[in-house]
Parts: sequence; C-alpha cells; structure tokens
Amino acid sequence: MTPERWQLVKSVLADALAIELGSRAVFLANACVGDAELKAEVESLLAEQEHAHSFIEQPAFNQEHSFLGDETLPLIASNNASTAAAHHQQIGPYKILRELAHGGMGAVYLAERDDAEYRQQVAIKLIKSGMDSAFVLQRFRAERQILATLNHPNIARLLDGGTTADGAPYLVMEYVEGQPLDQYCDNQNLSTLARLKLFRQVCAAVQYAHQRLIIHRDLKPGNMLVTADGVVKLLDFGIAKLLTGESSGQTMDATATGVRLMTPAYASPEQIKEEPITTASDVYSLGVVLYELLTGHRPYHLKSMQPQELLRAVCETEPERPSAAITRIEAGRSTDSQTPITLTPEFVSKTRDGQPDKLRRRLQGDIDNIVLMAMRKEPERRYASVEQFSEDLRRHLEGLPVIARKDTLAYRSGKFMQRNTLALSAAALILVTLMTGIVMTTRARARAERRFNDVRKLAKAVVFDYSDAIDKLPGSTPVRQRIVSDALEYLDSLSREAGNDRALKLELAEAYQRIGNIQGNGYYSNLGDTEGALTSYRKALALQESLAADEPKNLDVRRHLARTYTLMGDVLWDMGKLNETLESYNRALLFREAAVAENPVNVEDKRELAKLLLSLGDLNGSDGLPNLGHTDTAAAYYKKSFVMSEALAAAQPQNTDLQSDVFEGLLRIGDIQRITGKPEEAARTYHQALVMIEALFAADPHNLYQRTKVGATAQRLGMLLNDNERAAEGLAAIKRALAVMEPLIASESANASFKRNLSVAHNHVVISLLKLNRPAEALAHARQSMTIIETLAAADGSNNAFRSDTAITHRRMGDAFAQLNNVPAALREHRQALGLQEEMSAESPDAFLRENVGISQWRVAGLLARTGDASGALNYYQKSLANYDALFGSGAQLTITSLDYAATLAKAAAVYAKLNRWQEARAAYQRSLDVYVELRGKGVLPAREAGKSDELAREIVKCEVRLAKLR
Amino acid sequence: MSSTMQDVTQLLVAWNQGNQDALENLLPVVYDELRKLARSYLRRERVNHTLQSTALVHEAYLRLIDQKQVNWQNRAHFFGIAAQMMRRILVNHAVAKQTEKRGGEIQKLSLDDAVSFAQEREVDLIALDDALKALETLDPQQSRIVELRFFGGLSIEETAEVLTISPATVKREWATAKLWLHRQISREV
Repeated sequence: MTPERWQLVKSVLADALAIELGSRAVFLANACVGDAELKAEVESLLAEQEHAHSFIEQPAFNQEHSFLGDETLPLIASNNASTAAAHHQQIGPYKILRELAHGGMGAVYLAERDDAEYRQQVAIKLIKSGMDSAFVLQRFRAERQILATLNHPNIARLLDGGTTADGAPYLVMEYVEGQPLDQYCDNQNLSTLARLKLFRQVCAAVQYAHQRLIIHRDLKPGNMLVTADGVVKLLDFGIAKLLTGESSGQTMDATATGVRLMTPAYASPEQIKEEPITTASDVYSLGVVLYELLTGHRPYHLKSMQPQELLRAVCETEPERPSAAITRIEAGRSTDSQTPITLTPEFVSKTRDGQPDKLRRRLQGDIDNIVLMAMRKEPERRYASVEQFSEDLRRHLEGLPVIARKDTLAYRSGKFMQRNTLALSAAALILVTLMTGIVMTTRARARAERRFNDVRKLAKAVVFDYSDAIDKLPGSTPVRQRIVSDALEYLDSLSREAGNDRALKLELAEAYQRIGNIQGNGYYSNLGDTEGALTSYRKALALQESLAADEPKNLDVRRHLARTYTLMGDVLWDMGKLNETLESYNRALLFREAAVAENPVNVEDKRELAKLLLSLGDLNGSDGLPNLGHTDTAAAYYKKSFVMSEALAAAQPQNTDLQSDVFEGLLRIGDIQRITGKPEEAARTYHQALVMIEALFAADPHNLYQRTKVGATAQRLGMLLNDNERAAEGLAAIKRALAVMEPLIASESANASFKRNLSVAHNHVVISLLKLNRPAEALAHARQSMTIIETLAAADGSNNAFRSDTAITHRRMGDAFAQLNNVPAALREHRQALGLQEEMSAESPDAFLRENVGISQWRVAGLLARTGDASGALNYYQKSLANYDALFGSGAQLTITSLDYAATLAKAAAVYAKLNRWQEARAAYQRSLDVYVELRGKGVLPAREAGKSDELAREIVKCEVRLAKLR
Repeated sequence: MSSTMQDVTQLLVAWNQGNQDALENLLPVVYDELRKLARSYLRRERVNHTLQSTALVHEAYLRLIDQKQVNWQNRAHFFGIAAQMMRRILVNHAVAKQTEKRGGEIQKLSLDDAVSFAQEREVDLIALDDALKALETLDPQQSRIVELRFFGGLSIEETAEVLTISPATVKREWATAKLWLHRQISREV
C-alpha cells in the first residue's frame, strides 16, 4: 500500500467507525463506489475491531492489565478518607507512613518514596471521594504546570499528583516539619517585633505567588508552618482553587463551593459572598492572620458557622482595633492543644510583650491602622498588594511613616478616592508654594545660598524620586497628572529665573525631559498627552542647546542633547511624523557617535548608541509600527546594534541590563527574519529571545519592563505561528502573552501604553481564533480590543498609533463577521477601517499605513464579490493593486506584502474571469504568477505557497482556452 | 537544583533552538534516567500496585527538567523523546527476554534481572515494534501517535499537545492505527 492510498483507506475507515454498525454497509457501498479494493481493505480492517478492542489501550509499561479489574487493591470508596487510609499502604509510587491530618477535603498523609534509589518524604493530600474527582483532576492537570513553577524558599512545593487505582485524586507536596505559625510564636514567647518579622516572610511568599498570578485563597496559621530553623513555609498554594474552581464554567455541587472549603474565620467578605476572588482576598486573610498573631483574639466573635451570622460578621461588622482587642476577656482556644481557655489581657500579653499596657502601646496607632487597612471590607480599599502591606510593616519596623491611615466614616461612605486625591494635591500645593519661595530666594542668592540648595533638592526629589516612586504604584495616574501640571508650573517659573546658572539649567532641562516622558512618551508609562510632551522636550532642548553653545566641548551636555532628541523622536513617531522622527533620531545619532568616539571605554555611551540604532532600525522597517518601509536599512541597523550589545554583554555576563539589550536586538532580528519570509530562522530567534527574557524575568519578577517583554515576545512568537498556519500554538502563545499583560492593565487603570499593548494582543488572539474557525470567540476578543483602543484614541486624538490600531481592530471585527457569514456587518467594519487608514495615509508617507489601505481595499473587494457585486469588487481590487504598485514604487518590498499583492492579483483575475474579461484575467493571473516565481527564485517563498504557481498556470491555460474559443 | 537537571534543561532548550548536537547529548541522559526509574518501579512492582509509563515519563520529566526554564514546546518535545526512549527500552528488554528464553548467549540488555514482566504480556512488543515501523512508512504521524500513547503513556490530550494537533484528530488516528496494527501483527504470527 502507498501512503496516499492509506490516507484514503484511513479516511473511509474513520468515517465508518463513526457510523452505527447497522448503517455501515450502506455507507461503505456509497463511499467505495467503483473501488472494490478500497471496500475490501476497509472491511478487513473493520473486522479487526472485534479483537482489537483493548489492544494497546493500556500503556506498555503497565503491569499485567488483568489486575486492573482486580479487587485486591483497596479502594477509597468510603467517604471517610482516614479509614480508607487504613487499607492504603501505597499511593502512586509513595508508601504511606502515617496520617498527618484530615479535614473537609480529605486527609493528608506522610509518605515516602519507597525505592532504594530515591528516598524522599512527602506529604500526600488524598482528596475525599464525593468530591467530583473527574472535575478535580481536570482542574489539577490545568493548574499543575503553573503550581509547579512556584519555587520559593517560603513555599512548600507541589511535587506531583495523580489518581489512585480507584480514581481518587491526590496531590504530592513537599513535606514540612514544623509548627503552625501561631503556635510557634506562642511557644517561643515571641515579641510583637519578632512576630512582625516572621509575618513578613509569609508576605514575601504570598507576594511571590501573586507575581505568578496564583492566589492562595485559604491563608490561615495552619497553612503556615515554621521549621525548627525559624523558616516559614506556606502550604497548599492554589489548592483551594483546584478544588473549587469558581472561575470555570463547570461547577460542583453548590454546597461544596466557595467558603465551605475555606476556613471561615479567615475568609474575606468577597469569599463569603462568593464574589470574584483576587489577590486582595489574600491580603485580607493575611490581615486576619496578623490580627490574631498580634492580639491572640479573632477579629469577629463567631458563635456558630451559620451562613447568615458569618455574612453579618465578616461583611458588615467593623473589627475592633487590635490595641483594643487585647483588653477583651473572652473564651478562646489555646493555639497548641486547641483546648478551651479564657483569653485575658494578662494571658495574651504574657507570650507577647509582657505587660498588657506595654502590648497595647505597641499596637496602638500604626499597627492598628495597618492591620485594619489590610482587612477593609472593600477589596479596592485594602493594600493594593501584599508587597505594599509588607512594605508598610517594614516602614513601621524602621520607624518611618506608614501609608495606612485610620479608617473614618467619611472614607466608608465612598469618599476615599476623592479625599485622597484632594489630600495629595494639597501636598502638591504646599510644594509649589515652597518652589515659589525658591524663586524669590534666588534673587538674593548670596544671602540665602544654603536655603536655596535645600529647596532645590526638595524640588528635584518631587519631580524625580516622587514621580518615579509613584510610577510603580498601581492606579497612580490621576496623582501623576496632578504632579505633572504642578511641576510644570514651578519649572516654568524657575527657568525664567535661571539666568546663567549652568547647573540649574541642566537640572531644569532634565526635569522637563522627565515631565515630557510622563506626559506622552510611549516608552514610559505615560499620560497620553503627546503635544504636551513635545512642548516639554522643546523647552529642555532650548536649555541644553544654550549650554552646548557655551561649552562646545562638554561631553555631558551632548549626551543630554542626544537623549532629548531621542525622546522627541519617540513622541513624533507616535504622532505619525516619520520624517521629523528620522531627523530627530539622526541628530541624536550624531551626538551619540561623537560621545563613543571620544570616550570608547564608556559602556553606557555604547549602550545608548546601540539602543538608538535599534530605534532607527524600527523607524526604517519595524513590522507593526508605522515605518518608512526600508527593511534592508532596518536590518543593517539591527545587526550593528546587536553586535555592539553582544560584545558588551560578553564582557560583563552578570550584568542583566546588558543581557536585556541583547534580548531587544534578538527580538528585532527575529522580526526582520519573519517579515522577510524566513519563518524557521525567526522562530529560532524568538525562542532564543524568549528564553533570555524569561530567565531575566524569573530572576527579577517585580520588573515591569521584563514582564511586558515576556508578553511581547510570546506575542511575537504567536504571530509567527499564526502566519505559518500553526494557529493552535499561536493562540497558546498569545494567550500566554495576555496572561502576563492583563494583571498590569487592571492595576494601571489609566495607562495608555499598556492598554494599547493589550488591545494589540487581543487582535492577535482574533487572528488565531479565525484560523481555527472559531469566529464567535474571535468577535468577542475583537470587541474587547475595540473598547480599549477606542477609549485611547478618543483621549488622545493626535496619536496616530491609536487611530491606526483602531482601524486594524475594525478589520479584525470585519474578518470575524465575514466568517460568521454576516457580510453586511463585515463590509461596514472594513469600510470603517479603510476610511481611517485613507485619512491617515493622506497625512503621512507611512508605508505601513499605505499597505493597510491596500489590504482593506481587497478585503472590501472580496466581500463585494461575495454579495455578487462583481463590478464593485473589481473597482476595489483595482484600487488595492494601484496602492501596492505605489508601495513597490517607493521601495518597500517585503515578502509578506508581495504575497498579499500576488493573492490580490489572483482574486482580481477571478473577478475579471467572472465578467468574461478574459484578456484582463489572463494578464492579472500572469502578473501574480510572476510574483510567485520571483519569490521562489529568491528562496523566500513559504512552503505552503509552493502549489500556487501550478494553480495559477492552470488558470492561465483556462483563460487562453476561452480566448481561443472567442477567436 | 542538581547539576544534571541544569544540564538536561539547557540541552533541551538548545535542541529546541535548533542545535542538533544537543539532542545527541540529551538522548543518553533521558534513556538512562528512564531505565533507572523503570528498574526501581519494577522492583517495587511485586508489591501489587499499578504503574504506568505515564508515571515514569512524567517523573523523569520532573527529575530531569527544571520547569522554570522551559516552555510548553520544550515540555512537549521532552515527552516526545521520552516516549521514543521508552519504546527502545521496552523493546530491547523484550528482545533480551526472548533471546534468553531461546538460550542465546547474547548479553542481556537494559533492564536487569529483577523482573520478568514481558513474557506474559498480551502484546508482543517486538511484533508491535515491527508493525509500527511498517506503519511509519505509510503514515509517520500515526506511528508517532501510537508511540506516544502506548510507549509514552500519554493521554489523548497530552499527545495532541505534543504533536500540536487536535485531540479529535488524535482519537481518529489512534482508532484507525489500532486496527491496522492489530491486523498487521495477526498476519505476522
């Protein structure tokens, strides 16, 4: 049999297998008409079915499969997992030593790998039957990979998992020998100070997991063990999610969901109410743990576990301040033996700071505020992250002011944000007043030199440090806007007074530069005000140019000039002013090259030059950004930059900044390989880049830039896979990118560049889904993208990148509608895209825009052809082709573009043929064929396009036959 | 992290980036680890307990690969190799047993004397191996699916992940391959 023949046999066989036994004969007779041999072959294989039922179904390494049905293996049919354990000596490859604990979800055993070569003690959590084990398992498989990446000294690792012979799921975890946190603290009579320090270890572990988007959901002292060395280990990370899976469409028995699996005393209001759970829920639970750790009392008096009581207590009652709680006398339980005891001020103080009075003073103020801030009812009013919570504790420990403030009724009535902003702007007002003070003082500098410098230092701190610090705080945009406008005000007044003070001029220029970045530079987290940014940069340039005129030899001034020109180029580019961008970058290049030539050993100068070369490469031919369409020039710039970065990184392999420069270069080289039709090379380059950036990100998970770049790289890889008909992998890669990006977007609620990136990622998901023929989901993603990008474009009308993205998003929606067979809606979307692109293209010589005009035109043409409007279709095809001709005339010759061009020619030819315009059809087919032949000649024709030339040749022959008949 | 783990992880990543030498260095390590695990499993096997290629392969993965450093393609490729190695180990073992039974002088391969599990096995591994080779000439992907499922112990979903095809395709290919292989083996006998 030949492989081709087998494909045929297999296809009929598979269809036959899918059909009921009774109908097979009829099916086969139909399917094999005229091919008796085929029928005989399929029948012969079908005959095997009777004997092949269990054939190779058990993997090769299974022991005799006969014993699978054997009852000698104990089953955990009992609802009581601990009695089941009595029968269980072995779970998976682990031998049970003893039971450690049992509870609602099942039992936990100490076990050991009982082979001679590997000896390792583990804790095994055996899930009680009665939990939906198929569901738990499915969830477990999905989560295992994620949980296995949790590798932190304060987190007990999840090692393995599976099902017992009878199908009960189990989880294998690192075994930790230790005492629960609260018990340990009491046994060691730890002071408040020592307790806080220990608690910060817990925070570090939770924070680490949150960075990986894993929420604990069941934080309680029992899940926090302290080893004999005083190291905290957190248990059961993510396990609660495995067992409840509230985010999944499938739900378990309602009584088993949510809080029933949670320990109610530590559950947050949103968990009690079964609302969405976020990292803020862990912040809350940590607050309760800390409350109890510091006071010995629980925040709420829960007499029973009745849902109504729980709801009222946790969601409505304000907990007493910790410093007040310790004065309570109430019934409680000892932390070690859980025996009933009476909690008195003396009793709880004895194991803490000694005297009740001393303990009360210790807790009063900061600690009260910190604990209660973590425990606020509304998730958004708690600490924004565990890190922030822990940081506030650190500040308290070091005697610094803390963020947490006493909660007041006014805050509770929803005035928090408003009041907070007011408070902050009041602070800013005071600063401005101070600055005005400086200006006055400068006039009498001789007398007030010292005061002037003090205040200047303060001013610098406000613009630089204050703003930088806030930059990283989630949701800080409104505050930053306020800082920008206030800062500009005093910078302007300072510059008027600067006179010939060289140092002050330099400082002011730098301050303008920074303000410009915050206002509208896409490379920074910014406020989307590009015009404002340009104005600030120009002010910086004016100051720097005047300095450079005075001191033409000063290298430092030139560095500053290079920087400002680069930044200005960035913003001009975002505004679609490509030629101005090139001019600005070229000016920067002159200064940079001069700096390197003059001082060749300076690593920073070289780095800056390498970065600038990347930007120049991007401007010349970056894919996906507005660019000049000069791919070869771009490739040359990238190469030059990459060689420089690599040399720098090789000299200092430990320097992660240099590594990340190399990564940036790799990414660009990958891009060029991709757009010039070398997908294999591009995939390798992207892989290499992804490995690099993932290593960097893993080493520094707080790094916003690296997180963004992991996303960007995964997204690039996804695009590449999409383009090469590996859409399922592409989808996975892009979804991964989304997963890295989405948490940032949620916190940076008003940040333009993040939002834009998210919108772009959604658009790529659309592409994958459409290739996988899932148009409804695709449309949903396109709509999400549209919501984001339209808001951005509306907020910054002069930002061409947003407008261009809006057009692309219309295209994605159009494509989704087209696949859903909603042709009118598809036409509407593509026409909107086209309108926007034509408008922009008229204003800018951007090759990217022009190409997109062409693409939108052939999209419209295709849809018109679908409605039967051949002449309308032809009209648009002609427009599209004219556009491509103009594009090639201007020197842009990308493989992908050429393929689009060739495809458009072929489609136009088909319409000509339909209209019986054979001469024109033939000519268009011929031109299309020429493009393919040319690409093949260059060795850049993708394999999947290889059959196209034959197809086209056949069409040409058809045309000629028609023409001959007409003659 | 052990240095082996570090090395193997690096090799896997390097191979995925197109370094063919890395594969050559990777194979013996994976082979050895699987063989070692298989031996320890089999020794324990006398105490009655289910064991599966699935467990072996997954365990080898956890032992050899630092999961922080690899992505899903790396993982898929690892399982791909592991299944191939399991096939080699088990078939070698079967050949050794057969030789032994015939009283041959050839030195025993791979698995040690601890077990004799292959002889009562329903599936003749050597015949299956031959049949798989024949299938490979007709349909390499189908042969690969059987290797992953039967020798690697991978589920339908995992197989789909490794080959980046849909689970539905795996099911369809699996069902038809089973029939073809079964007929092939029956004919040989």
